Amino acid sequence: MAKVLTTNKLSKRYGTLQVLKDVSLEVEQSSIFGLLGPNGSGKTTTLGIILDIIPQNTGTYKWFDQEPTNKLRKKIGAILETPNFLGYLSAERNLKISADIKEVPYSDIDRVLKIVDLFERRKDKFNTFSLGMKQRLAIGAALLGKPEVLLLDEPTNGLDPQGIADIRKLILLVANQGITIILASHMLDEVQKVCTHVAIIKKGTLLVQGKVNEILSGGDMLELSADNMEELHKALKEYAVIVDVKKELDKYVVKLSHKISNAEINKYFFNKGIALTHLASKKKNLEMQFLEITN
Amino acid sequence: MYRLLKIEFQKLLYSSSFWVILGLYIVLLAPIAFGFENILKSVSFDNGNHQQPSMSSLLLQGYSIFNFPEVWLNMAYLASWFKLLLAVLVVIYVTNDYSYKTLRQNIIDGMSKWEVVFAKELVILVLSFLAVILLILLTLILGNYQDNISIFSGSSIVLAYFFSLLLYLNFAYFLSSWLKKSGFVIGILFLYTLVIENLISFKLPENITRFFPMNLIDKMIPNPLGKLFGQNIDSDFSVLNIGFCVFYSLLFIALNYWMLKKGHAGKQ
Repeated sequence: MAKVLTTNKLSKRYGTLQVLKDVSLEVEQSSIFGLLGPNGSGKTTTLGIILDIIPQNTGTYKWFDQEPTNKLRKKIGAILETPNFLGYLSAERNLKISADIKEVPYSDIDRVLKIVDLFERRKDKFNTFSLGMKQRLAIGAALLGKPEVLLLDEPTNGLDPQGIADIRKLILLVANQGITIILASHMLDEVQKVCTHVAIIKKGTLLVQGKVNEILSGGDMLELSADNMEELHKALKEYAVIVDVKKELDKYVVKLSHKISNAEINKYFFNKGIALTHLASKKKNLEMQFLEITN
Repeated sequence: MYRLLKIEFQKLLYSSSFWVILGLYIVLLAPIAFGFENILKSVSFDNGNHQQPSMSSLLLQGYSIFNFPEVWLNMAYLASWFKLLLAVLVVIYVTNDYSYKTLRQNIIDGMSKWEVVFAKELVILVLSFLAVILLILLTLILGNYQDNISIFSGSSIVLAYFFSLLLYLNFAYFLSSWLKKSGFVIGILFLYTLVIENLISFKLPENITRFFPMNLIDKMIPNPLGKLFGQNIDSDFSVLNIGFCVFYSLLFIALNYWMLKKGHAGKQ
């Protein structure tokens, strides 16, 4: 798969404070890549560096396998932190400035205004917009000239439920057109709902990255106990489908590599001559899993 | 270059501050010039002793600040005060781009850092040029034509005006991109113009202080009032002085670029 973005050991220090440490990311084409981490973990710093707003101390990055230049940035639609427009100009005038910078014809402005549902309000000053509208206008500006990548930083932050739903719908709509999306968020369920890939970052360090359904699977867990715990332990070790065994007081908690029915499990132990006194499947919740990764 | 001008002038032309300040510049310059004329006349002819007219009133017989060739320096000197107004416009225009974070967004959208710096410099050049055109037009309209004196005699002062304005607006541009907050910048700018440089210059030898920005401007566009008292007031726009104006302007541009390179746009 072609790489849209690769970063190689990006580090950033403010004085003695290390805000980013050796962050290496890989974003594949046509993926929805979530950069997940609590507030202050270094997400915006990472995005600032790859957008040439913040100079890194060490490390390199490439867009589309090329050395970054301002010309390449014209193929990236990006919003950093908040929607940034001149408040005294109309939505349309602000987009004209963006279009001039990206060297995109003005005819594209109506198209993006319709996508983000602001065409009717295009003559109104940016200052008069609600936060949700500002955020949508920013996404509209980012979509000018049909970019290959859309980069969004906490796009639903501070929005009401309707606003959040609008933005998520918009993201999926854009993704369906084959545009790669990089989404920074501190909201786990947002990343899980929207993204195909995820990188988790904490205190400036990359903890893990990969496909969302592998990392944030929700994981199938089982609780088991039997009269003879020694025998049970031995049998658990021999069972191929079980990948992780932990003892918790009077029971074992195990992780399964893939989902199988409780009946099948029961049958396996029965054949081994072990009668289970307790068998319960348990869905590990995402928050627990997230905390497990970040702690 | 056309693209950069288009980007920047959309920010300017649709802001009310641009039209208010430009309007003030156009509307106020002529009435203030007439005001000065009247003040001078009333002072000189009302000294209470008509038997023995004072030195200055003698000199003022038949004198008008609008007479060619003096009108060029007189108007340039008045216009030179209006540089404060133009500087405020530059400060508002540049700090807007920081307070709305649009400067950062412009970079994200694909402007290079040099383009960001250069685009604003182009605006300053255009503003300075416009101010010079206005000065020339006003002088030609208001000037009293004299026999035997070419209306263009003394007009080279507008060159000095252009370069001194360029220096001053670039100074305002530099302070704006450095400090980012408009009120703060305007305060510092006025303080420096009217007080701080004089304080610094107080103990320093003249051959150093004459190259300080405000001193330089004063030398190039001197106060013409002394002429009324028989002093010889001449504008000193030697190549050296113009060279210093250009040098300061380039220095400020370089500093602006250097700050952006260091990630100034990313900081709050």
